[in-house]
Amino acid sequence: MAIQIGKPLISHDQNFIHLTSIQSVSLGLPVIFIGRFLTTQYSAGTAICSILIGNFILWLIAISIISMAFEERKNAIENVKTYLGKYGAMLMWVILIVSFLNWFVLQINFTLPTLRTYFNIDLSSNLVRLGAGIGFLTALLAIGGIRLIKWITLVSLPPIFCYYLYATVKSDYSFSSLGGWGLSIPAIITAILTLLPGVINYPTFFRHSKNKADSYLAITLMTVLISFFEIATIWMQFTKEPGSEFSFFAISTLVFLLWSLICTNLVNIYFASACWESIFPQFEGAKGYAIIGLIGTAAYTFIQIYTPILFLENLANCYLASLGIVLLIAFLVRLMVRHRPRPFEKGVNSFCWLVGCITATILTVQDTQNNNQTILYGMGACVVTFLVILFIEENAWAIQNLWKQKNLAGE
Amino acid sequence: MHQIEHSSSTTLPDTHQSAWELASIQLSGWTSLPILATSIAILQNNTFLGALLTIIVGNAILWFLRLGIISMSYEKRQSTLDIARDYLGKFGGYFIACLLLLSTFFWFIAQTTTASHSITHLLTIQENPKIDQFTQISVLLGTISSLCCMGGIILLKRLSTIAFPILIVLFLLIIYAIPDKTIHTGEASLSLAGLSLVLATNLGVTSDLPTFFRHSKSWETSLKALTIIQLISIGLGIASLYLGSIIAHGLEVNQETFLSTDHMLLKAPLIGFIFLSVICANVANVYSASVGWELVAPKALVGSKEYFILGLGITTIFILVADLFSLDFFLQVSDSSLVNLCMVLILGSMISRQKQRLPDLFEKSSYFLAWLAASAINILQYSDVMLSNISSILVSFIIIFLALIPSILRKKTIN
Repeated sequence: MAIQIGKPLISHDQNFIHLTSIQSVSLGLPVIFIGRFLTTQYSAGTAICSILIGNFILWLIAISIISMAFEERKNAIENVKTYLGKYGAMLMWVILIVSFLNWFVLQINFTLPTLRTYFNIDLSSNLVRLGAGIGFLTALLAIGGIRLIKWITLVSLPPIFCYYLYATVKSDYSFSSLGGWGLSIPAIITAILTLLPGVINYPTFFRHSKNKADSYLAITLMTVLISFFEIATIWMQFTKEPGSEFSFFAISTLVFLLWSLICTNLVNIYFASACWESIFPQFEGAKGYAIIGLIGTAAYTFIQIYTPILFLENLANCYLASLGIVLLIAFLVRLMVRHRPRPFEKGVNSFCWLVGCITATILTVQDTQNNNQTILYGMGACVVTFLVILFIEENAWAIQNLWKQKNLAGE
Repeated sequence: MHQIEHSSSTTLPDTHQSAWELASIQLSGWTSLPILATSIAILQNNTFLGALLTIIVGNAILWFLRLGIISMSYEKRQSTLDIARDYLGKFGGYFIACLLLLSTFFWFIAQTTTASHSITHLLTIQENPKIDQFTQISVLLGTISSLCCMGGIILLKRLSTIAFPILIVLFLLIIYAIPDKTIHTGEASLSLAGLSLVLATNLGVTSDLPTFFRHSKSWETSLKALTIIQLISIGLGIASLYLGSIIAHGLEVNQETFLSTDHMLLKAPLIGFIFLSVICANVANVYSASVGWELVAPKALVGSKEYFILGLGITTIFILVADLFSLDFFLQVSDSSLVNLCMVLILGSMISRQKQRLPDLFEKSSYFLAWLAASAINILQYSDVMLSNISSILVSFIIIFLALIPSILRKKTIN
């Protein structure tokens, strides 16, 4: 096991299968249901094509994000600090904490009602208690840290894959129901935006990778598996025949839903640990993870009003998506333009992100329903600001350089 | 000063606790409504003077018995489980480890459930009726308890030394603010009726003392701490006689008292008292169970994070099962098993002192069988199968004494 010197002990023992398992098993219902959601908006054929293209673009983004952080084995916050500076990292810290709380709460709020509907059971009085119990259990498991997450997800991947296959085969939905094949730009964007906030956080997990080759291979394998999981939900029917509560399929669905919830929130806790490590280094490790889990559980129990959660979730998604695009452009620009001073570069990146965040905030306040459009406008604002600054800056640099050369020639 | 030696000086942290720290840990762990309500139960079958006398005599007996238990552990800084293994053997030690874990588990659930109900009754926050306030309070108590368990004995000591004075102030405020200070005595004449209740309520906790007192600075410190504990317990026990009007059957707060009056001066300290006392009790319980956990859990789950694992694990189960079924039977069984352990250890210690050596295999086996038989008969008593009309503590004492006769006689044979 290789250990990095000069930083807290971070194991570098994960191969591409481990990395793939962690990310693929922990998608959570709101993400994998994207296939079903797109099918209701477009035809199933269009949903499949759009998911494939969207995930292919995500593959490219993920490769870039991992390349940025891999050499120094940075976590997501440290990676942002490299490109946006101290204040950008602080803003990212706040957003990541809000996002974590939202994701943690959302996973429970999405899964438990699905269970209630599927099994047609009256959980109304005990729903919060069940959710809190699962939250505590997740916090307890989080004490095991990345090693336990690795083994739990590694062991879970084959049964979950089999469940998807089983549920797909068992479905009444036939290929003839797929409808026309096609591509839809909004569907592709939806497919990208669903996973983009997660991709920004990949460095926190990929710092445990054995080497770059394992990381790249993991991203490819993840893309294949995630595409399959998202597409499979088009076939999966979360309704049951009356009286089949104890059938094999019903019980396997119950186990699948609960286990997916626990795995997803375990990974969410580890995502948030990047923030925790930077603020409370003395609580790094098992205690830190459990505390994060407890905070998430408390948030779920005490924030029972859905509207503010949805509002914050939309905002956090917008901010993270804008950050993703800023990081991507910053990375590409750093490859092309080598004469920019670093503090100036960080300032520009932070400013562009800030413009994107402000745009997204204004649009979210005006319309909470159309989140994808808001995210797009936020990202667009970042790109436009970046291009304008780059245009002015590069031309200014060129004129200044010519002026200098002319003065030197004159002397 | 008689300085304590300890068998595991490299692993046992914080071995310089003062008398006040030792006493605070115990008193803040016990000073909860269910324990204080014992005084009210004594009063139901006694006169005021009789109850007073019972509390004083009961605490004097407890002081003596506790002294015996602590004296067994002070030389090698042994925990309850270490002593149990010395007297009941390795096999018996596993039983006691499980008993400590189960007892903690039942008490944690029972106390937190009672506290959550009481606080839910007392807090009248206007929320959507669909929102389950009981679960919200339970999660809050569970979360804080888990967090406080994190630091083991050191955090428990800090928490208790801060919390105990606050608990005393809150308790005095409650007594001051109670609208009806009438003491409702029973119709019986002056007697020591209720002595068995005092012993039964406190002997279970007594068997846990070595686990905490192994952190004492010295033997003299332990003695001082024990005396402080008993004196304050007498004071709290007598003051608790006035709590009759606010504690209902089932040891929860009497809703009628609070519904009939909007007495914020009573409500606020009572909420604070219940909240703080249940946190302290839970953290102390988890620390007491940790010695059992160290024996039965895999090595990977033992160490600095064991308190957190235990606290979070019990909280998880508590949230899922709280209020689903009554724990009274399990509480009675675990409590009487701990009382039996206490009796076996004290009698075993007396026999060992006479023989001037630790028990051999025969004695260990007979101690274990004595404990097992007494606990089994107690279970049958609580299930109404046999002897249900006789005091369980009396039945246990007779069984244990009879089972230990061969060990006592054996000494004579050897000599």
